Amino acid sequence: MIVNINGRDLLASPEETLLQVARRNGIAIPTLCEHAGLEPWGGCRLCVVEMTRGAGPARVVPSCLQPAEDGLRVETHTPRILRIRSVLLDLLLARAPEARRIQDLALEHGVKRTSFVPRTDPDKCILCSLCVRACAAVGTQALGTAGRGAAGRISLPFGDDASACVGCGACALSCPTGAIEMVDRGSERRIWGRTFQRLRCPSCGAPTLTREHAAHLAARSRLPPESFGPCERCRREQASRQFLELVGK
Amino acid sequence: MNATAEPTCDLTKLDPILARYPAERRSLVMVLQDAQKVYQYLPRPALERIAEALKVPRSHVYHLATFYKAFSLEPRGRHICTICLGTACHVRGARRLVEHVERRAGIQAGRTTPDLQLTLETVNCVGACALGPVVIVDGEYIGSATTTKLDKVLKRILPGAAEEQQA
Amino acid sequence: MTRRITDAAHLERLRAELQAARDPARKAIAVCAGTGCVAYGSRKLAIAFRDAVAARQLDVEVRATGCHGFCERGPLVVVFPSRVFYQRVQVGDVEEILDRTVARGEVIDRLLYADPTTGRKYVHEDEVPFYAHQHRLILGFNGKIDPESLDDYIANGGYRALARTLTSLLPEQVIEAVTKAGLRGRGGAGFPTGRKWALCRQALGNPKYVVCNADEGDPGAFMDRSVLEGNPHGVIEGMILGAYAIGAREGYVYVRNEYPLAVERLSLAVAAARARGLLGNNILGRDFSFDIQITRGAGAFVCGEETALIGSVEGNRGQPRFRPPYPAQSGLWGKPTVINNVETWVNVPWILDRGADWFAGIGTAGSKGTKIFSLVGKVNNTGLVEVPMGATLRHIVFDIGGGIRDGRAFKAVQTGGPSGGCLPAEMLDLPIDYESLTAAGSMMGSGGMIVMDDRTCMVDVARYFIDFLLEESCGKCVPCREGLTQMSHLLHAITEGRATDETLAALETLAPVVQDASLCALGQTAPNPVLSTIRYFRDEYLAHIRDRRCPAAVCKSLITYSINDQCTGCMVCARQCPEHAITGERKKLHRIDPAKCTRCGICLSVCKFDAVDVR
Repeated sequence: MIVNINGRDLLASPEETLLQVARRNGIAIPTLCEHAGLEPWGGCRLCVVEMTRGAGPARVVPSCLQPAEDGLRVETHTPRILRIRSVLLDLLLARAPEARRIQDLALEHGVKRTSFVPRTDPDKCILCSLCVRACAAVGTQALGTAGRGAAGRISLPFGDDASACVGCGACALSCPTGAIEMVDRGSERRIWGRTFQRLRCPSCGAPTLTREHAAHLAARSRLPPESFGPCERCRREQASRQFLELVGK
Repeated sequence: MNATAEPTCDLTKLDPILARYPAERRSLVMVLQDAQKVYQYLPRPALERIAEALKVPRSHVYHLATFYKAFSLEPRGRHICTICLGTACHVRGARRLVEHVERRAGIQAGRTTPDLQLTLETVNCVGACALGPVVIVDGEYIGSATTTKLDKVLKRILPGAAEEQQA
Repeated sequence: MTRRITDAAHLERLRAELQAARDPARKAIAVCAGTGCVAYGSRKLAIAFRDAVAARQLDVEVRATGCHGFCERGPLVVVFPSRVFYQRVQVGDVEEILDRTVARGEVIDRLLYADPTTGRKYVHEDEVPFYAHQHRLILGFNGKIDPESLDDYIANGGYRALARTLTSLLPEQVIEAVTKAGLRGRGGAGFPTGRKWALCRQALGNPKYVVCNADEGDPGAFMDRSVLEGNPHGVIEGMILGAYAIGAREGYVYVRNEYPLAVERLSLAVAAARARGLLGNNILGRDFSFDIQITRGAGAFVCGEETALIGSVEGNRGQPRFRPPYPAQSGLWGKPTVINNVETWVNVPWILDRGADWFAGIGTAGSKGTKIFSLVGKVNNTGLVEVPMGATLRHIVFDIGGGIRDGRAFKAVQTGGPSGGCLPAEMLDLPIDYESLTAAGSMMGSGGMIVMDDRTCMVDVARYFIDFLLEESCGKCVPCREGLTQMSHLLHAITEGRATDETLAALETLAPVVQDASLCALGQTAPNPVLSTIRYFRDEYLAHIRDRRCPAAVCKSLITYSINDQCTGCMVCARQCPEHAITGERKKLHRIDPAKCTRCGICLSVCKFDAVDVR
């Protein structure tokens, strides 16, 4: 099928979203709550575009979720869209004024400081829920949003129950604003009020996964825990060596 | 959190509730509603047990319970005063009634008095709009509520409220 | 009698038996037992009637019915067969009613409804202007039947549509009828019901589901509650017909947690229907099985949005999802699902019984049938009103509603709940249909209609709705969560006298972004009350901003309370004032200290001499 984006006719397949088609063709659309490894969420709304079907009116839709359809005409940077993005970033700046990523994105859209009332006692969290979704996808669903609406807060169950956390760090690593504190010192990792011990790579001795994370992966994959021992660099070296041995002989 | 100590939770009360519904995620909201009816709120141990029984992560139960206003994770008072803040009641001055009870009881809406006598709640429309402003005390509807009508009811519930009125 | 009804012929025999056993000349007393009248003590009233009838060994049926609609005048009693209509009936009136009206046909003057402006009294229910101007198709059942009696429903024609449909129509023909009738969703959006059903029937996936959205969350709206409490079988029959049309075996009714009586009546009705074989396997002996489960909401307005409702039924937080896919294609547990509002469902048996053409004959070109509104606020006759689509706002507010109470002036009528808008006097002749309301900046919504007078501040109303939606926002998307947070700040600034022209400009910049970029209808329509009040009442906004004045004398920061010379010095207000701001000796003019006064309004409400001024 053919989707027209910003005047260019582009090939698209039915399982693709407008965002995927755009990105595949080098058209940049900003996102905040999107992650290639997770299902699209559609919460930040930065990825909105104007979409027209036939003779109908232009509608504002999130490109991360809108499926490609034959004959769609899409505009990614109209004045209406740009105004929406700059207002959204202005709003986010009021919510998390210290978040570097928001400051940068806002500046890119012409917003130097927020024109709105800043949140009292703000933290860096923009409630994009990437941490919650990442933990649910690859971790143990140890996190969630307590409360709802603007009063929502990312939290552990009951605010203090970190028993399900395996210290994998997916939450901290997926957070776009650095709102989750994870401190690695030597083989110790501290996150969500718990201290974890990280295993060490049998080859080079670098700290790798936490014990609990390795056990979690072993349970999910039915591979033995030792499979998760080597660090990534050593694993690649090992795989390359094996490959060379295979073809060299 | 609470100044008063949480009484220990009798988890056996959950057994008939859990037996009533299939042990899956879709039963969660109904299980929580029945549990709240039995305990008057949702104690932490009960939530943990429910998560286990329905085979969902604790986080799912906790974060769902905090999403819905019907659920209270803190002990509620022996008496519940619910004031409707729906539009019809609002234009008939419901806000003033809330402020009045807040003053009399010494608590903000959504909270419970320290002696666990009264919980004051607001709700966004109980569907009795023609009688606005509507106040529900312990399940009894008071239509066309006034501060005077409320004082009569509060006199029975709040110690010291009677003296305050005469001051 | 709980014998299973084996087939359509059996149902008709049963119906004939029930009708034959009911003597239309038999004396009966219908006591309204909707939530409103129950709050006024009608349950005790019904018991008093029953006891008195038993004590005197009279052959008089006492029936507790669903909401009659004229809630302003409850408790309501209708005496049959004469249909004398009594309002504000107390337990103390029971004996007199039995002695005079039931026994001797005498009318008790003081219990009759009197027009507040003319003083004229009306004797019979259908003469009372509130009812006379309505077209009570759906609500008509509420006054007639005992909602806890399946026999009553059958005797009045209930389940006849189902019997005819199951014996002589194909599912596709049911969809055709609903489409031809022009029924549109009564929950707010007005999507053509037939088209939704057709899409669902065509969708791939099994099992399919039908859902009744009874999460009536619009503040000021209680139509669905009254239908569920007063005629639960009407909803059930509609759902069975819908399930037959799309090929579903299971249905859910999602009822607001705040409606315990509706849940109770619906549960009883479902159990009764099941016991008689109208729900369950092989309904009326046909190869069609369907059953209903009742599930409750838990205090989240957003769950009225269909995808959030689906999430809630599945056992998740009530957060909306992007559409497509639409629930008709992928809904509950990813299966094709038809979700319709209570009022939509209850219209379906009428269409299948009387025919699509008959239904399409009511209403306007684009909006067919009747619509139930909850008429509340500053109007004389508050209650439930049912009119054909196309009736004007003026007809509802003045002819049925009896005009503004306390002789004050009409200022605006708000329709569509938090998603709608406020319409001023110039729009009173607007015919009510989906398109015209939307074009005027409001919307039909679920049917809440709130009348406002000159003592209502429109800026305060806008602020109220934004604060309501802010609290109910699920929080998933930035424009709603953060946009409403800031719109609330801006509106508070205006009502608290801290605003400038920039404040209004900021509101007007934010509003279209929230409309365009929000994920679901809660956010998309949230700016409507703000935009419509700015459109029609801009001067009022400017008064707050530039003059620091609230013309309706509502916004606390901008008003002063003072005592005028009607004061008799009774000291009641001084005693009640929580801030001790009132000074004055007995029999001498009192004075309010403006520095201490918090404008709580208590002195105004306790003063019996109209001596408190608010400006």
